Amino acid sequence: MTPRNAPASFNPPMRFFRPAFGALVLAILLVIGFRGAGPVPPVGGMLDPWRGVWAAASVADLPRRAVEPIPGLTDTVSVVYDDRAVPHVFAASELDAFRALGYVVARDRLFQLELQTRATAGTLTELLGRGALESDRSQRSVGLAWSAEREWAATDSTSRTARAARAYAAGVNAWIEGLSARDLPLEYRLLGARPMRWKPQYTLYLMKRMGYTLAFNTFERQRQRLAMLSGDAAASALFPVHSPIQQPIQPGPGPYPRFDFTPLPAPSLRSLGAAVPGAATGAGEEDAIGSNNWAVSPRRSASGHALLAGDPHLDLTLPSIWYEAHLAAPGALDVYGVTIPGVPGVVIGFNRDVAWSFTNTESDVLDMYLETLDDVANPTVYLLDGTWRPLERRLERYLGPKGEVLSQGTIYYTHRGPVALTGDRPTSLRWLALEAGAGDALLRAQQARNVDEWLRVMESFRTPAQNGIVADRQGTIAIRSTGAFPIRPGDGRGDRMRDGTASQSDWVGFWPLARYPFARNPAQGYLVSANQEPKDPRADPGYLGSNWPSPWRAMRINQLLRADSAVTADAMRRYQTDPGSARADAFVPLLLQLGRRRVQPWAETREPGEAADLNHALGLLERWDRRYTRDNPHAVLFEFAMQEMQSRVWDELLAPGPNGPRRVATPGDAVLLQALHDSVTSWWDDRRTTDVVETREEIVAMSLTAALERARGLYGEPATPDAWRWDRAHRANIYHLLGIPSFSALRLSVQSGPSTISPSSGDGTHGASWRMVVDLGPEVQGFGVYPGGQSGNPASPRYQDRLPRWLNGDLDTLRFPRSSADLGAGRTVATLTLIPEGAP
Amino acid sequence: MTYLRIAVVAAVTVAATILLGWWSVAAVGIVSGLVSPPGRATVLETGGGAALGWAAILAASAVSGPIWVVAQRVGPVFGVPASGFLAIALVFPALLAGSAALVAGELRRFALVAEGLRRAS
Repeated sequence: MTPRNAPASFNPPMRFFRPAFGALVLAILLVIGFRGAGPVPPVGGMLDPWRGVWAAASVADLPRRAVEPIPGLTDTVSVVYDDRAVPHVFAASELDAFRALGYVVARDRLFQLELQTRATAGTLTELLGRGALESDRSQRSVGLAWSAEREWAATDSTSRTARAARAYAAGVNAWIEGLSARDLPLEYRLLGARPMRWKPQYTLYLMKRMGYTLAFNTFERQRQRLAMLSGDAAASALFPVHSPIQQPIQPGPGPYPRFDFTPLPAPSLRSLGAAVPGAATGAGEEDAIGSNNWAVSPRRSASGHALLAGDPHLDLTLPSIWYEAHLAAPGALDVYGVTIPGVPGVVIGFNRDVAWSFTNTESDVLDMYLETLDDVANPTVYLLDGTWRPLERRLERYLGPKGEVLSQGTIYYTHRGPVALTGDRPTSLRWLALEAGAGDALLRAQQARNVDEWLRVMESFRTPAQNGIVADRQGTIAIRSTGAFPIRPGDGRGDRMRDGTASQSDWVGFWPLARYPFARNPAQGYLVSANQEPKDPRADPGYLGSNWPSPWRAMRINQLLRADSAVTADAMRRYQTDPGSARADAFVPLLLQLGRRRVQPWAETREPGEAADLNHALGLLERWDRRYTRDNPHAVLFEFAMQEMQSRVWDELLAPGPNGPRRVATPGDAVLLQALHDSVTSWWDDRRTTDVVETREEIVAMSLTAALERARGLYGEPATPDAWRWDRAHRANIYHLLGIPSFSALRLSVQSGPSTISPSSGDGTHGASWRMVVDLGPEVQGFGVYPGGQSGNPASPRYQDRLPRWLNGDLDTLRFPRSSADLGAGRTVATLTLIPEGAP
Repeated sequence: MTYLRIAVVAAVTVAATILLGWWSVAAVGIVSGLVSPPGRATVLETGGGAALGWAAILAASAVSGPIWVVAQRVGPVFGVPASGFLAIALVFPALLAGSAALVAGELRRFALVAEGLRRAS
């Protein structure tokens, strides 16, 4: 036996092999450590236990006490974090409060700030690499950053908007500059990147981003294809200018809901699957983005105070789009609510006197124009009123993470806006969001002392148009669709492509304020908006938009509020996750009635099993309570039947696609209901079956049995306990901003369905992004929750701590202290003192 | 001597990592290889000490934060479970320091042999 460290006998091959092997291993580890290899990122810095991903653990909790300097502060700012990790900012001035807000938002959500700004600017490639190139191209072609920069350059530097944006930016940058290696958010460590500095104009980028999310609707393209497939009359009927079910926001000549059903024009005789220019797009999905808000007058509330509820439905992400904060500055500001990281101030919330929330108006503020260019591949001029006009050109360069040029391209602009060279003919778009912003309306709304003041300051809000609901402590409630609504020449409609060669096609003005959808203290004692058509066309037939979301949520909320003459804040909370469905209430009786008519004929003409299946499906549907509770055993059958029926009824809207025929667009369920009331319309004939002409009853019966078969195939026999639970068929999915599954909350069981008040459909990635109820008593009391947590650090206990309560439909009591001491030591989890830079 | 060497390497690794960064683990390995008798034990003890050093930093971090949650979140990003990711975080410095010690030790041995040959001639 040889001593462990005794020199071994001389062995030349081993003498060379061992150091060579060691050197190779060392070299490989250093290369992988510094540079990574293939899909493996540089692991050295990442695995470093001090500065690497592990450091995310050490900054998972807020430090109990911290003192930090911020340049530009005029006085010390005290920030106390309550037991829900909400920062309460007590500052000497409004601008100091915004500086502090920028700081605390950056502290919790720095990566989100950068990612959403880059997504808007089309510079994701600089952070994520070549994989983001298509997304960046698409964003730059819309021109959001171009528009934001232009707007910023035109903004008076002494305006409130500019000063607020600069103060906020100073706060964000103070955090970035003081960032230690261990504070760096986890995502930057994984990407091997460093945060960019925040510019004040990025606030405008985010407002543009809101416009893109809420008001970018290029339905004209879809409608053009639809008209080619089925004829213009049919396209207008399937995607109508006015909703076939009326439940308007502005109470009108009711009663409501009113079903304005007329026979659907027959589709044109164009052959099935005929070529339609442009690629087929997927079917639209109702409720993809929407919201609810409602308010109750004191005479219909149990407390005798006005009540207000709001729940915006957006993409659900981790971290959430929202960040909760309380901003206070004596004589200037005392507001609580949710802000969007990047925006100085509270977007939805309440102050000591007033509460407000928004739903998207869904108005049409984007038009597309068919343009004539001198050269489609490399244009220089466009035709307008018989003369060639020069195109504005912008060279766009797409850079990689190391500054290398990945790609470049030119974006062309007419006097209307950017030009798309894709498709069969160039189109330019005029989109209000590129021309106007929110101004300082949101900033001023935070300070309103009553409803009328709030409405007055919101008059200047231009885009994205919102149904702003507001209530005050005096018991006044009101709602107004706030934004700019273009007036078009001719028939006034904006749902069709317009001729770009004539300036006469351009907008001729905007609706006057007096014509905006509006209601104040209505006789019914409550107001409701849920993205439905805001004004009854019998009261005002003017064009605001088309293809409105079916008003199922509005109908259900109206139904609940009508039935409750003593509404409480807790009832409002329950309504926000009510599992009932006006859509199911409208369809199920009809499906049962029509399906039953085929039972006897099927028993006589079809295989015995088919008639039995139809009977079985009808029995199951009849037993359904029309609720989307988690364990509901019948909702899945109804949903499958609706999908089957859509595919059979709207077969005329199929266009060839790369993976087989796809529907160019899917009419709303209100139109499907309209069809169900029309026994003779030729839409019932499934033209894919050439040897038979289907009837309405036949389509309903076939849809029910196909749904039964599909559900059996997926979930087994319905008699098996829990086999058909609704949450087996549908779940919510909240993805991290980068889509990393282990940073996400997936397969969440929710009491929601398509068109319930808290909607969830499709892949479950959107829904109620913030739920708020406010009781406007002598002391305003708010309740709220959002799916996620205040921290953007996936390792933090505050990353998704609110999720269980959101899933249960619970709301947290929102603490609204008058001073930092008022919060109480027991509810204070951390304090942050921000001092002017250079102060002792 | 074994435990002492491991402890010293671990302590130096902790200090070097915090002060200089992850790559300094290789430097610690080289120094260890140069000052210790060449052989398998030095390689193993240097690697073990480096792993122990990083484990100590992780343990200290775990006092103030949820290290295991980080492993659960980040491990799957690279297709490994949390335990696997933690293991990689310890194996990496062990290999880095161990291989550096091996190379340094062998270079030292070559130098000694060359010196011996020179004197013999």
